[in-house]
Amino acid sequence: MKRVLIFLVIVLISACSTTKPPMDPVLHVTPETGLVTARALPATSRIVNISINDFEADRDVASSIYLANSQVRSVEQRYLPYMLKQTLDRSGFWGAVRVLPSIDHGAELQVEGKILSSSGIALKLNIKVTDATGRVWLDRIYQDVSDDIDFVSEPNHFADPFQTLYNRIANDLQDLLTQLESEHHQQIVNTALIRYGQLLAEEAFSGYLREEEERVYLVGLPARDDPVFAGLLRVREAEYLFADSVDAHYESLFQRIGPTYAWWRYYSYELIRGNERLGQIDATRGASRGSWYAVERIYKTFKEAKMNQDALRELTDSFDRETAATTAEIAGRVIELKGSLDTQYEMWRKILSNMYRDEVGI
Amino acid sequence: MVMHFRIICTLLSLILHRAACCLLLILSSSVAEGANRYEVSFAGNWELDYQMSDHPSEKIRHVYTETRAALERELQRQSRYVDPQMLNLSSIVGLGRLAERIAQATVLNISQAADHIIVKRNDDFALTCDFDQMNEQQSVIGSEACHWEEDQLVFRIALPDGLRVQHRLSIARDRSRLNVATTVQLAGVRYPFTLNMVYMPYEEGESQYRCEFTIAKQTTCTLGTYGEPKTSGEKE
Repeated sequence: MKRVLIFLVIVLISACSTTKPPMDPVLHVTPETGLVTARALPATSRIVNISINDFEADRDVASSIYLANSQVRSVEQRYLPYMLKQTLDRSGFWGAVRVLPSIDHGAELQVEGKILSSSGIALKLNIKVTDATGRVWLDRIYQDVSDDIDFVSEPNHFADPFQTLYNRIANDLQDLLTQLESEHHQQIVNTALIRYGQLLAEEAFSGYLREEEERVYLVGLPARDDPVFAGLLRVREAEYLFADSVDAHYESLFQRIGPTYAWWRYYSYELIRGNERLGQIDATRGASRGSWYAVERIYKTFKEAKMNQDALRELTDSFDRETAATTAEIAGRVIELKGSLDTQYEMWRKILSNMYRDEVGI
Repeated sequence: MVMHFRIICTLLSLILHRAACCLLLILSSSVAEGANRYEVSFAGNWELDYQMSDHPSEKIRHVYTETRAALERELQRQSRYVDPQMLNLSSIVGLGRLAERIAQATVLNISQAADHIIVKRNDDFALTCDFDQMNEQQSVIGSEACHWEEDQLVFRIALPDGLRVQHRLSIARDRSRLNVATTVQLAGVRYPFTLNMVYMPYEEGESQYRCEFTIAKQTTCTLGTYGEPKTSGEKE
């Protein structure tokens, strides 16, 4: 019984103690990786369209105004996918590469990302790529570490310090694309189309697909001259047009927030490195530890970092507030959508679904 | 056997009672810390009342003289000689000057909701507090925390080398004045230094300052109203 009591006491005491978060392993600078680019346009039989949705991010504090990181994350969730899109576009191996606010159920190749960590020092992403048939192309953690060289000149958002990371993702995908057999390519394209149809009118298309353990098998296709099929193709074209205008929003984010985000990274790098240096006497700053000059430098560094965080918060807020209305045209009708990008996307999907149902009389 | 059983029961109930008390204490303290029990609102636009605020140089001189006199009295009581250098009185000046730079804001724009407060200060970073997460949070450099002390809101900043900055906000019942007491403390320096800056409300558009947020990372405030640009010599 004494042992039981001791056990109870230990349990109670241990319940009060806190656990330390796991330390990140020491980061090493990774060698630069160039982007492999296509020498010629891809053959029609090899064109695969890619949809990238907003990256996920763990927020330390939900909707916090306290941690600037959570503010920065909300920008990064939309900014980093666009960086990847640009890299994939430049590689020249792909059809249309689009960034969308949520998962594209009719995607031929869906890229999902999760921001594991991001600062001026390092970027760590979990990237998962799945094709329309449910086959996982890759599910890997990519990490890149910046170096002093990345920050020698004034920050420029067109020269990203973590470009190597995006290049590696693009190169890996290109590698997998070259291994893609044309038969499977056709399956992906057709499955994507039918999955899109399912989204518009499930009852009309569910018979063509069989789902088994996260894989989707195509069991048939509607006849090419079937009006249901022709209508589907028309609506999907409209969807693509809308997706392109959504894409323009991401480009606008990149243009507007890019310079400030680049500065944030610059400061983040400088501050983290600076903080490491503050642990020693810093002769290069002309102040030894404990001097008033050094103390003032510490506060000044903190103030600069905080002011930069404020700027990012303002920008993030304004991005959400100021998302302009999207205008899309379908079948001669111009539709204006308002609200946040996510809301607009949902509205658009509903409109398309209704139009499709009206058109084919479902 | 019955005796043993009773002892065990008593011990168990004691442990459980303590654990329950601990839990209650933790819960009540977190509620007390996180809750704005007095329903204080600092929201509004505030500008510095120079008359009622501390004048840094005067305060430094005053604190210096007072501290020196107090130390001398103490030394006389102990009747032993102490080298004045050891009193490190010059650190009062250093801390005072630092406090002056930290508490430099002349305009505050405060927005407050049930779950957070943002205190925007001209030419300075905003003080922010998430009432649901008031415990210590790591910042890019150092850490930050905030808590309620009765009807006062305290922001604490801990930086490397033992530099501690605290901003304590309190407001008059009639909301005519807002006080921000900024205390700067440094490890190894015996005396913290506090500056009280008092602010009075103003309606947006009436202020002589015009603050603008720009992408270049800063809020810049210039003289002039929100209407037509006005030169400093122009009469109201």
